[in-house]
Amino acid sequence: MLFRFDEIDRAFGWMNAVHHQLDRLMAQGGLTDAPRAEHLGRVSVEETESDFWLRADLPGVKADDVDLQLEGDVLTLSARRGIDLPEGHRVHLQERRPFEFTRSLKLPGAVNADAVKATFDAGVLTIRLGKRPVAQPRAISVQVAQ
Amino acid sequence: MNPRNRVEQMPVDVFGNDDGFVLVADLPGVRVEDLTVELDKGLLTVAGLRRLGLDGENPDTPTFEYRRRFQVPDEIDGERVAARLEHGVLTVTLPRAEAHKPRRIPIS
Repeated sequence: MLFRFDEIDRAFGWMNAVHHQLDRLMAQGGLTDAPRAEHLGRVSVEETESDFWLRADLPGVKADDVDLQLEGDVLTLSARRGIDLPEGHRVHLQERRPFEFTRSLKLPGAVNADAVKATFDAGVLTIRLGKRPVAQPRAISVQVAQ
Repeated sequence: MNPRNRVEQMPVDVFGNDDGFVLVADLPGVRVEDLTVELDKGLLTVAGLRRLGLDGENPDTPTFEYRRRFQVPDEIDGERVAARLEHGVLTVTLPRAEAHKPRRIPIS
């Protein structure tokens, strides 16, 4: 059971790309059980009582190549990465992709622009956006003029 | 479903030249302590536990595993295989044993 999802890749060595793909298809049988992760633009938004949390998979992206803008309740994320082909090497397998994208996300509620914190760890960008407290009805005492 | 039973295959690049191979894998959310790179009997296994939680420390945090295996040629020098994890990207270098490197034969 432990190795149920395993395929043994033969990307190394002498096999050409066509053989490799045939090999994979035969080894996998059912493709649905083990989807290849598509990282490009994978973004999740979660909500806790006090914050919205946004997470984006950005493996191999340098911090300088990430840009975040908050305008009202719209957060715009831009990121890019290149794929460096090592010089003088043959390509046996190439699945990782360069990307450059801009995504705008409308947050489910108002946020406090002063309570936004972003961290970038292990290729995952995590943004914490503090919610703006909902205005509570407040009783206003009226002073009667003498 | 126990998320630990969930397996995803990460995208991988493999490059090669006369000196050996380089394998590069996208592993976002995997930390060094959750990563295994193993070469055994010509099979290279790369497995990493993905942390998804907001704080990454909550035991209830759902996680899944990235896992793939590769058959590598016999001429790889297992002693000199090296791995580096940086910004969610793993790079494994697999040098070819000196005895297997192609060499120019001088003609007299």
